[in-house]
Amino acid sequence: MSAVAGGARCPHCGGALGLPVAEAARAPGSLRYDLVALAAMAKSEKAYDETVKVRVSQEDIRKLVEKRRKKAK
Amino acid sequence: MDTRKVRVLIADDEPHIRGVIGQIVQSLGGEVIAEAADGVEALALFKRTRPDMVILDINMPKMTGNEALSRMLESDPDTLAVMMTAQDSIDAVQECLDLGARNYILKSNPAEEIYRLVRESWPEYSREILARGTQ
Repeated sequence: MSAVAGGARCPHCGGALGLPVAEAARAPGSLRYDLVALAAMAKSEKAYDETVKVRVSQEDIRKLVEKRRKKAK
Repeated sequence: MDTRKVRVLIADDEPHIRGVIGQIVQSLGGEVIAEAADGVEALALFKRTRPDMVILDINMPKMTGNEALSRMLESDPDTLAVMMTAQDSIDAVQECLDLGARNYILKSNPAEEIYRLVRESWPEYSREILARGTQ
């Protein structure tokens, strides 16, 4: 393995060695994923909206049917 | 006054569900004229028997209930359709209502609740159907 100081990098993942994890993730050329940053990005982009199904109860359906019926009249 | 029974087609791939719905229909004075276990069979029976009302599941083999519903209403726009399914997403409900289903009943309801829901709308549906028959 490379030396710790002087910008040495892990030969496997390319991350800077001898740095705290967060700092290493931000280091240029790092292949690490910053999960906190990714989570923040996903939240801001609502990346999971497509997978969320809005579930309804029978009462919701009753109201919806009633609303459409009134509209149709 | 028309005293004939409301003729109902039931389509569901689960035989016990068809049995329960059939009992409900009969207890309300309707007649189950046909039962189908998949969408293709449902459509074929629909064309052959011309029921007044169809009670359709969505998730069925060969053809979904939505597709069957769409084709049935193309064939006879006056058909009164009620969806009875486990699909409880707003998209599924809205799609069926957009296609022309009159009601949407969740199978996740207890049997007594399903009975109550069908019974509740039955008088209105049967009046409409029987009035159509006398026109």
